Amino acid sequence: MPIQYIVKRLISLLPVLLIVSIGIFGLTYLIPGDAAVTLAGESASPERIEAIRTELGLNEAPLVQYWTWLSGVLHGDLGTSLYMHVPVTTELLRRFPVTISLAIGALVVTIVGGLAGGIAAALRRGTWVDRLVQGGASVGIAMPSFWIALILIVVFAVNLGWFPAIGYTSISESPTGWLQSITMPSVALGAAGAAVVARQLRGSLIDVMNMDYVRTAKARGLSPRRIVAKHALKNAVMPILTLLGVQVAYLLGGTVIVEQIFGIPGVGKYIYDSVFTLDLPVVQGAVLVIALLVVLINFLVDISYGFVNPKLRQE
Amino acid sequence: MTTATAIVPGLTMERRSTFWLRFSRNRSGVIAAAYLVLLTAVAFGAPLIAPYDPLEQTLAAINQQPSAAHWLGTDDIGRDILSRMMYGARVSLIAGVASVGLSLLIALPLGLVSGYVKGPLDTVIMRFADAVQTLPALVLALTISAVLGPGLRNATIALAVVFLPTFLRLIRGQVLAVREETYIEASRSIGTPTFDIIRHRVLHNIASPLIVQAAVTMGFALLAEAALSFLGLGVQPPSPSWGRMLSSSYTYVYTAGWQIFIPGVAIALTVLALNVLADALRDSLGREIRTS
Amino acid sequence: MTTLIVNEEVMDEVRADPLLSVENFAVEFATGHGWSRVVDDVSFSVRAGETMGLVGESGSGKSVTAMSIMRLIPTPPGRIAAGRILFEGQDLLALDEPQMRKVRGNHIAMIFQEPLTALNPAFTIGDQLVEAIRAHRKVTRKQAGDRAAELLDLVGIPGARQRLRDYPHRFSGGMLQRAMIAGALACSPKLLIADEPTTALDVTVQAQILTLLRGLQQEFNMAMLFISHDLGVVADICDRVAVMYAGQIVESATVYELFERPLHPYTEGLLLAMPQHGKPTDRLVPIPGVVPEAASVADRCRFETRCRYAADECRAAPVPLTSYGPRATRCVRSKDLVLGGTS
Repeated sequence: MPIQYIVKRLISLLPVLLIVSIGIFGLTYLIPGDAAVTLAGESASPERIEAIRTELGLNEAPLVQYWTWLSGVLHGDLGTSLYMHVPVTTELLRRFPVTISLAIGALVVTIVGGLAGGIAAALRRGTWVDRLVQGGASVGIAMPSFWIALILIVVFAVNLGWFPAIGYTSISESPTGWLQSITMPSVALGAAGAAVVARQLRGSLIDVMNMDYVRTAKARGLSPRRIVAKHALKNAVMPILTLLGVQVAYLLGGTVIVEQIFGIPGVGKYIYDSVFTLDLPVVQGAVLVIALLVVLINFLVDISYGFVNPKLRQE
Repeated sequence: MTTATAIVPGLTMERRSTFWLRFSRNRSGVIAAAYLVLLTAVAFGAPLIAPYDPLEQTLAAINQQPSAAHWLGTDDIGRDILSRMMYGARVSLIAGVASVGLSLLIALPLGLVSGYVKGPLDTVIMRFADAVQTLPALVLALTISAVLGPGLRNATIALAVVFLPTFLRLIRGQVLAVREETYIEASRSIGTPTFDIIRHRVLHNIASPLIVQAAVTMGFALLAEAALSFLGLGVQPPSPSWGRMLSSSYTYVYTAGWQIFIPGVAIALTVLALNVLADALRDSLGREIRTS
Repeated sequence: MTTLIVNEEVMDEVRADPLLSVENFAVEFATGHGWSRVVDDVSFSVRAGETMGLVGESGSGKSVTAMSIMRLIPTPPGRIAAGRILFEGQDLLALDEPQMRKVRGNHIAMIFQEPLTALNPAFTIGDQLVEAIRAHRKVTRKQAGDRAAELLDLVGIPGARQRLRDYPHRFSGGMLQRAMIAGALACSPKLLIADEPTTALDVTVQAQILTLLRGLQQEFNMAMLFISHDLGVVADICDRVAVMYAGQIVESATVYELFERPLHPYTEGLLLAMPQHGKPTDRLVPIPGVVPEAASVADRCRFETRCRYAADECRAAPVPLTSYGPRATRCVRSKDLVLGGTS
């Protein structure tokens, strides 16, 4: 992988990030009426309104405001919550690991579920296994994550009592407690992704298994297991990589609702809580961080193509 | 879908008839379409056929299990769930159709221009699309609709913004493909204004993929609207919506856990129907769509 | 009337135990309306160290036959309906899948028509050669790597050791076919099945590959089953040849005899349609029509619809393969007809 390629890709991200930052900053201007009045909430004192106006720099020209905000962001200062009066960066750093652990849990569900379903369906094409996976995938894609969450709670927390209905235990506190608290949220969040991956993988595996090089591998006396695990999967996984990039963005979005349902104190719940109070610095900071994360992941997906596809690497 | 095929300029008579022939042979597609037609009828006929007023509270009969009087039971303040589901269907359908329609309305001219002029304007538009796509759909929709203020209209606007990049890329890609094709060269030499040709050709070529994409996106809009309602941002109480009903049933998950299944099944079934319909359309609309 | 001279020497060879012997073999594929027999009553044998050609148009069943020897036709939709395939006396059709895997690539190897797609684009040439070796030989990666370099060298790829690290897209079509041959030779098979190995290549490259195959075959005393639609190529490389038409063998003979004096009108047709060196090409005569659906001509000579010698007796009943010493033909009129060869 030539280093120039990576650098070029990184530079191409800059305009997009610039637009994202302008968009997020511009949220202030989307607020109907006088932003300071709206943000201060009903029955706020004139002093409070003025304080917010000063804090957000709303008196200054938009460009100056943007520059002040952006240079703060570039120095790691995302402002201070209007209500909690805690620096947004501090709070985000505290909540970030929680959301990441949930996202990883969900990603595991997506990948493991997707691979298992996709491979099983492709290898047992036309059988009941295939139909089960395909039907399950269609339903899984159509089911809202928050409904899956509710079903899981009703079945496994309320009726069976296997998992806590809500709450989060950090991994440093108790690894098993963490696993228990993260299982249902991960499944709720990752199920749709697993369905999408299974469906896509089934299709690309079936295509790949008809390729000439698979016939060559068979003619050389390789075992079916080796043919699928090595020859077919590496080629079939290409489209899945793109998909995973998209899925991660979807997962991060889903944390807002899933963290809310399961009472997990992550970035998603932070966004949810501040969206209703219109705690603008928090919303802007958290959304920006999530956007950065999505950009980073898609960049990594891009780079990983090179490892899967030798043509891209050598040219 | 009758209206869709009738107004889309790309579907000529003969394509239309082979389309119907193929579509009518697709059993799951027909079932999905029938379900959606029925749902639409129920949603908009709700004032006529709903057994109760969806807002009428009967505090003597709260959280009742399904019975002859209340086919799907009653909710936490004694409202008839079936009636609320019927009215709630309206919200889901309106949000789906309106957000996709609004998004298309913006994306169509923007995509046409973007693909036609290329150059800096195109770059700006496409970077904008990239930027929108760096934000997870739900986060974006949540933020926009929160900032604009809660309500179905603002939720619809937020969703339209979320869907923009997908439609933009689809349309722009089609314009670029059409530009390359030789018949454009041919018409240019006889002096026909190229933008008109492109617009005409693009609309002709893109009708099929756009219909399919619109159906898929509508399913997604339904999910997203339900999520926004669930979080308290869509339609405001006491108006019924499926997402909102799910979130209130969640409050009684220990005493009336079965209630979560009614709106959930409705949402999943409708999204499933839209996805199945999209697949059936993709298969029935034939060759031109598979190549795009 | 023609007398057929039986060469006793050749007869002795025929009676000797063959390496591969396909007997009354039939393959069917499921279609919308029942089973369609695409290979029917095919019998031939390949002796150790000889090159047997299998010739026919596309749809004649020659590739299906070749793939069936490796048991590589997908079942379903295909099924083996009848016959035996004896390899060193062992019926391959009686083996279970794990046993069959020990034969594939080990005792019988195969190369294919499309070198560009026959190797996995995601792995290096070396990786795929090492894999082919280690599939049947218990050797270390290091040893297998050395052997892989030897093999590449053997098939005439310069700078073999460096090229092991290349991915297939860095190789030309001819080079890839050489690499495929190297992979096929990995475990020193007794039989190499070559399914149209030169069809997709340029004429000059084609000649190089044929030369390479002939050389390797002699060097390792390996038997080869060579599938082709091109009689010219077959004449170049084969000792004996069987001509297939509509799922059946219609004639088999030594290459010399077949070219000298075909016994089946279809063979004659193929010869007339074949361009020859040093002769004007305006005399090429194509065979009219296409290969018919086997079922539609099951009650008569299958070639009858396209044969210029067709008579009533040809339409009366299916024609059996009749042996004349080492030769055989599936033509009821073979004794009356004097067909033209290439001499």
